[in-house]
Formats: sequence, structure tokens, C-alpha cells
Amino acid sequence: MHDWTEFVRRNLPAGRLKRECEDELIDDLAQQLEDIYQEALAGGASEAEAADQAQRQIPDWESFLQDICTRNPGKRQATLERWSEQAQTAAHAREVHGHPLVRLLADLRCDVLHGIRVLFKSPGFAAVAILTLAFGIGINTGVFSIMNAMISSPQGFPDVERLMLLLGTRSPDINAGGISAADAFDWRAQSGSFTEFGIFRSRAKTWTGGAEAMRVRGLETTAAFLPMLGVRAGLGRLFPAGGGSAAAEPVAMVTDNYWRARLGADPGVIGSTCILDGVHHTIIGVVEPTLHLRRLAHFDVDVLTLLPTDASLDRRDRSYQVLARLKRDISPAVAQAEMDGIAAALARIHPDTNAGRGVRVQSLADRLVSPNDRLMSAVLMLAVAAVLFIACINLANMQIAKATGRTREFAIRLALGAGPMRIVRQLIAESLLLALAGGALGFWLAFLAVRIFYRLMEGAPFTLEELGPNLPVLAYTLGISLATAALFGLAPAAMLSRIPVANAMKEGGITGIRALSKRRLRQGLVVAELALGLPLLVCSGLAYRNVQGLTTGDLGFDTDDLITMYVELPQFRYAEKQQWPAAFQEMVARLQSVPGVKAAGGTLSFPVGGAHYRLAVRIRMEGKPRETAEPADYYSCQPVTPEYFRTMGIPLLLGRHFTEQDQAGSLPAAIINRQMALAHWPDEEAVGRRLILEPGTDDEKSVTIVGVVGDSGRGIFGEAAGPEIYLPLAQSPMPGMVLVVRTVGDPTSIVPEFRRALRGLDPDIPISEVQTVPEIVHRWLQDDRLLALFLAILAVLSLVLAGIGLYGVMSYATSQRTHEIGVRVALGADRFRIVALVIRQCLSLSLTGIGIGCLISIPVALLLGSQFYGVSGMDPVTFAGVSGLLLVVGLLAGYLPARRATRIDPVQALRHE
Amino acid sequence: MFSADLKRGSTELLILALLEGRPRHGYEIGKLIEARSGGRLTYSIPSLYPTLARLEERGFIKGRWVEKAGERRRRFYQLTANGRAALARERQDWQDFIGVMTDLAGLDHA
Repeated sequence: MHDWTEFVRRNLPAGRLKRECEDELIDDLAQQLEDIYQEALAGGASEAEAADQAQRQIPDWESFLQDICTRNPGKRQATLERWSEQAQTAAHAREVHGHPLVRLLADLRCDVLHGIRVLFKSPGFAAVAILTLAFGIGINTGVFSIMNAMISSPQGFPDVERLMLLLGTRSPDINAGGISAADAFDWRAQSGSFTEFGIFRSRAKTWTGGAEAMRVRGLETTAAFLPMLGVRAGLGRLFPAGGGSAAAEPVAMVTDNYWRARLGADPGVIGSTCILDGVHHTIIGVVEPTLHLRRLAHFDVDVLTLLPTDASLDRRDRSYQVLARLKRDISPAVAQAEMDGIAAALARIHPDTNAGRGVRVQSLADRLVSPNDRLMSAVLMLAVAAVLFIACINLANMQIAKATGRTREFAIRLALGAGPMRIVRQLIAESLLLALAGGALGFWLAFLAVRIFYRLMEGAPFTLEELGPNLPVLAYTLGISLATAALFGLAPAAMLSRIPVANAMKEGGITGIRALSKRRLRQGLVVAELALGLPLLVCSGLAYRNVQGLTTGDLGFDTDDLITMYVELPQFRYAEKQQWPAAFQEMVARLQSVPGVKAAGGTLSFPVGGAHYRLAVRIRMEGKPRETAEPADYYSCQPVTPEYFRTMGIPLLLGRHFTEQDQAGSLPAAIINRQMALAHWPDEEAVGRRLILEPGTDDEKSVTIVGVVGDSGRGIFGEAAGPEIYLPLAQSPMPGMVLVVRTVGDPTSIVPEFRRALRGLDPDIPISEVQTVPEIVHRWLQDDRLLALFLAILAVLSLVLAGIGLYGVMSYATSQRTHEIGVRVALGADRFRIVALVIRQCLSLSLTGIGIGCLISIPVALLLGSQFYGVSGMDPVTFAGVSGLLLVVGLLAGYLPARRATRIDPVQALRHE
Repeated sequence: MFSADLKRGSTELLILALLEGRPRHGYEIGKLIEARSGGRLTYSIPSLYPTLARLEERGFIKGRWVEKAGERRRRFYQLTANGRAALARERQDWQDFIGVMTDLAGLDHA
């Protein structure tokens, strides 16, 4: 038996090739000689003859090597080096002609097993890393699953691409939205672009006949409407096609929610009757559970009734909406052109009502998920991505620190012949393991979190099932887990694979320039972490200050001991407009007589929390021509009872209050708020001026301003009160009012008394939405509060991560300076100087991060601030506060290592060297 | 049997052609040429080895170390996409060359 390796080694001229290349070459030649030798033996040669045959293969070793080396020495060398790498890659492949994938999997298995061993060797590191990732990935997954559910919510409608909303428009650019039923029926009869036409409107109704009159949220629809949405009856049947004529018996359906909550989920309701607005309806079915109605109506529907098809239809009543399904071969643009023609023809036939009225064909999907929703989703996704990025930076930092301890391990493996790629792959496998474990845990956390969030979110346009976990969410989690592994695994891998073997093998580990550049890298990463964390903190701070500003800011009225309730007069009892003011006056009088009540009044809508309903009127000054039809010409107009301002505590600035003398027949009066006065008569007396109001449906009328009151309330987004006009209820009757009651002490305890007082007047009057001002404000700010809470979670996460990152870097930096500090202590430096030494370094890192972070924050804050009304984007308190907070965390992260440094025993430190 | 000059010019074509079907290691290539030519063409390690290195350098073939249980590792070569193109070119060249030689040198088909 010959040792061919030894033979080749002896004969090959040494020192011409790099060591590892030479080894490769020797191996390969030895194998070939072995083959020849074995073959000769098999062919019947003696051992000596066989050996001789093999040995004669390369007669001239010198020229053989020359041939390999001289042709292109540099390149050849490179080729041989590549061989050496590849040799490692193939080390575990078992099968010569195995599929590359099989070989890869075999390698992967080996890497993964090794990775698991390495992670188990440092369980602390693994736990911190996995937890960090779990939070980062979890929060991303959670937000993604909510966004995904939101964005894809229109997909639940059957054939949603062809579902169009036909919106009414007034003069070219004003989107009025609603249309009249008469117009809708004309459209349906004349247009050829659509296969189906569903007409609907939302209408609150009074449900009587039970123990107490209830206000129910109703939807009146044509028979085609529910089938268009793909909604079926869970019990009973849907509206019959062609129903709704006056001759037919009135029928109603109830929704699953209402059926369960109010009717005890009794299957016996099918066929029973209910009284809606005084009319007996037969309940023919229960609508299966669906979110489609909420998505279209923007509220939870209780009861559905059939829209009358043959009632005399007032073209001024534009409270209807139309959903239509496009024919297969018709594009929205073609349909739009056709509808333009139809609207123009109707305007010619009915010039008094339809002049300037048009139609806009808008895809339902675009209506349900607006570009603004998409933008907001993108912003939120960016915010959570920033948190994940910070987590990755932290892990990269930890990996680099940990890898320092493994320098020798890698150096030994390199020396033993592992290629750099092999090392990189090993590190990536470890990172992948961490990322996948973190991803799995994060997925679970997200699963829990979105469920909690779903509960906090009222009226979400998607179901819990649509939130996932589903395939897109799973794919997303897997995707970001892999991306994360690449982010935090590659930098350390690239760094370690370039270790100079000889240096690393020395006891001191990596020294010199390499160590310096590594420290710089880690410091740079920490600065990036702080710089990214600051915008998140700023956003969170702004969101909090916004809620705080809106909650505590001056609302223009006294919020203490005030309670509100909504009362709508049932139309079947109060059909005449003239009945309404008297009914409300009577209610106010009854409320005032309840013991404990200071004052009571009524208004069309409460000035905070988003109006039920507001009259928008166009005004012009008497004697001046009408201005252009800009939306800005429309003013909010509120019918109120005479006691309203006193009850609310809204100050009268000029003129007089409304009185009992402001009756239907007397001179039309108006009170304006300060904003309105400032806008039109900045330097003049407003009282006594006359305004001409052009409300949507009424004829125009001229009113005289009798008083000016203070501004009160805020808009739905929290914007400051705009110009307002108040009218006496008696002169502008409304069937629904918000009653406000000021009490002595806590008003909630007297609520039963209020109900009794009102029911004494008429038991069929439904009372709803009884709430105190704090409750209104709470509900009003719910979304803002959720946003603030969510951003706060992100901010705390990023703060903790940045703190940990900085602490890690400072600890390491300090431990590297043990010797130096030892010398300083030996030379007489006191504790304070040592602490200052460490803190100074920490401070410079923190301040750099905060400085860069502030710069990044400015555009972010301006963008966010434009959405907030409780605070400005460049809020100095927020900026100072979060910078200070970050600085404190930074100093704390530096103080702990600094304190450890003061305990360094100089003798120990010096001996160590 | 054939002159060294003649052999040197044709080695590349032979190697590429042999690798067309599947990856092979260096010794196997030498043995195959010998076997398929009925012993009329033989290559020793010194003649084959630099050619393999050169072909790899030019990106026509790609080498890979493979280990089998109980054996030393071997270097296997496989044809790359470039190699395949080069093989097609080389084949055409030889075909043309043989055609010209047939005409000019009065070679006869067997």
C-alpha cells in the first residue's frame, strides 16, 4: 500500500504555491495516482509494477508545476484559492452526482445543528435576542394584519371591481354625495351601463310596542340591494323582488346583531309584527352576520325596510345613495359619460331641482379604502419598521460583541481549512435560527395583541377572522424574519470572515486598526439607533400632547355636571313641523322642573364629538351680490332653544339671547359666534346686520343678527370652532335635538328622573345616547387615544432597545479600557474623573444620536402635526421632553459601566497586561 | 500514436465533449479518452491537468470538490453555459477544418 499523498508531497517542488493551494493540489494528484495504482493492480500487475506505473505518470515535476503556475501566475493562484474554498463547501456532500439542492440541504442541516449548539451554549444571549426580535417582528406582524384586513376589506363584496357608487354632485366640484330617490329611479330606468341597481338610505326609526320606545338604526333599501352585496338571510327570507309598492304589506328584516341583542335570538320573530315609526311591519327575515352593511352605512344597522317604489318622491330630498353593478364590457369611464348625459337631461326636465346637479361614478373599493387610508397605513408600517430596524441594529451589535469572543473559534476553523464562505454561512445560519424563533414568538404575540386591539377598536370594518392569522400574514412574518436575519447577521459575518488567522490566534485577539474600525461601526450603529428612536418618541409625544390638548383645552363652555341626551320625535306622531318646537320646549320645561337641575336647553348638535347632523347653509350679506359657490361659503347653522347658551355656560358677548318672543311669526333672528363676527365684521358692530341664508331644501330667508356669543366646541378632528350661526328653534324647527342639562352635583344619578319626566310627556319618544361630557370627549378622542397608546408602545420599545444597545457598547468600550483606567487610578485619578471619562464618551454618542434624530424628526413632526389640532407639530415641549428622556436613558446606560470602571483595582488591571 | 502537437490542439474539444453529458473527475476523463479511442489517444496527468485548469480559468468548466465515504476527495468538473457554447463553436471549427483538410490534402473518407 503506497501513501500517494506523501509521494506527491515529496516530489512537488515546495514553496511555489500558497500553502492551502498546495494542499489541494497534493490531494487531487494523490487521488489520481491512487486510481492508476489500483487499476494496475486490478489489471493483474504486481504491487511494484503498479506503483511504478503510477510513479511514472509525472516524469518531470518541475516542468509540471511550471506549467500550472507560469502561464498566468496571479490568476492561477486565484483559481487554486477558489478550489480551496469549494473543497470546504463540498465537505459534507455524500453523493457525487447528487442534486445541488440535496447537497445544500445537507450543508444546511449541519449549519443549523451547529447553530443550535452555539445558541444553547449562551442561553442568555439567545433569550434576549429572541425576545427583542419577537417584539419587533410581532409588532410588525400585528400592524400588517390590521392593515391587510383594512385594505382588503372591500374584497368581501362579490365581484367588487364592478360595484360602483353613484354619487350626486352639485356644481362641478362640490361632492354632495346624496341623491334623490326620484333621480335614482330615473337613472335606473335610463342607464344601460349597469346590470343591477341598489338604492338605499340610512334612517333612524322609532321601534314601539315593546316595554320602551327604542330608536333603531334603520336602512331602507330596494329589493335588489342585499343580493347585490351577496348578503343572505340567516333565517326567513330576503325582501321579495318587486316589493315596496304601496299596496304590499310592509315588511322588515332585522340584522343578526339586533336579533341577538334585543330580540333574544328568538326564531319565532319571523312572521311577527313590529311597529316602526307607527307603521306595523311583518318581520320576514334575519340578515346573516355580515360587515357589508356597516362598511356601506358606516354604522351598525339594526333594521332594514323596503324603500317605497311608488311614493311621491321629492327631488329635493337627497338622502339616498345608489350602488350599481357595471356590465361586464363597460368601463367606469363609459358609464360616467352615460350618466353625465342622463343627469344633464334630468336637469333640463327639472331645472328647479336638478340644475347644476351631476353624478360621479366611483368604484366602491376606492370609496371604502381611500388614498388617505393607504397613506396612513404606509406611515404606520414605516413606524413599526423603524422599531424592527432598531431591534436589528441592537442584535447586530450584540452579534459583533459576541463574535469577538468567538474570534479564536473562527480563526481555528479558518486555519483548519474552512473557507470564508463557510464561516459566513455558519453565522447566517445562527442568525436565521434566532430570527425564525423570534418570528414564531412574534407571530404568536401579534395574534394576541390584535385581538386585544380589535376589542378596543369600535366599529372596525373587518371581522376577527379577517384579521388572520392567514396566509398573507404568515408569509409577511416569514418574510420579515428572513429579512431581519439578513440585516443583523450579515455585518458580523462579513467582518469575521476576514479575520487574519495569525492575528486572531494570538492571545490578545484582534487588535489595531481592525478593532478600531469595529468599535467605530458599533458606535455608529448605536447612534443610528438613537437617531431612529427619537422620531418615534416625538410622534408618541405629539400624539399624547394632542389628546391632552384636546381634553384639557378650553372648549368654550363649562363641562362640569353637564349631561346630554338625544331625542328624536317619532314622525308618525309629530308629522307637522309646527309641532316640533313646542314639543321640545315642553321637554325642556319638564327637565328644568326635575329636582337638582339648574338649567336645561336644546341644540341640533352638541359642539364636541362630531355632530349628529348640522345644517350647512350658504349665506350672503344683504345688499351684496352672491359670492362664488365656494365650499367656504357654507356655514354651520344650529337651531337652539332660548336656554341653550345659559345652560352650556357659553358667554353672551354682545346683544341679546333668544327669547320666547322669537316665534315662527316674528322677525327672523340669529346669533353668531365670535369667529363669525370677526370674519365678517372685524371692525364693525355685527348686531343689527342682516344675513340671507340659503339652506339646501328651504327657501332662502333673511335673518337679523341679535347677539354674538363666545366660540364653543371643536370640530370632529379637534379643529378649533369655526364660524357658526345659531337660529331659534321656533323659527327653524327640527325633529331631533340634543338636550343638555346642567345639574347640581353628579348628573348620572338623576338620569332615571329625566327619563320619567320625558316619558310623562309621551311614552313613544325614544331617548338615546345619554352621556356626560367626559364620556362624549372620551368617545370622541377614542381614535386619537388609540393612536397615542400605540405610538407610546412603539416609543417605549425603541427607547428600551436603544438603551440596551448603548449600554452594550459602553460596557464593551469600558472593558477595553480596563488597563488605561487602571493606570489612571494608579496615577491618582479619583472616582469622579473616572466616571466623567466614561460618561463623556457616552454623552457624545447620545448627543450625536439626538442631534441627528431631531433633524429626522422635524419633517415627521410637521407631517403628523398637520393631522393634529391639540398640538402643533413643532411642539417645543415634546421635542425637549423626548430629547431629555433619551439623554437620561443614554446617561443611565453609560453610568452603569462607569460605576463598574471606578471599582477597577489598578494592581489587577496592570497585572492583566 | 499521434503527435503531441496534434493532441495538444484537440484536448480542449475532447474534454468539453466528455463533460457534456455529466460531471467527471480528471482521472476519469483521461481513462475515457483512452478507452473510447481504443488506446490510440492517451493523456498523462501532466498533459491533462493544465488544460483542465485553463478551461476552468476561462469559465468553460467548473470544478467542485466532492468527498465520498472512505475515499480521498476528488475534484469533479462540469460544463458551464459558456463551456457549452465553446463546445458548439469548437465542434463547428473542427468540422470546417476537417472539411478543408479533406479537400486540400486529398483525404478520403473511410
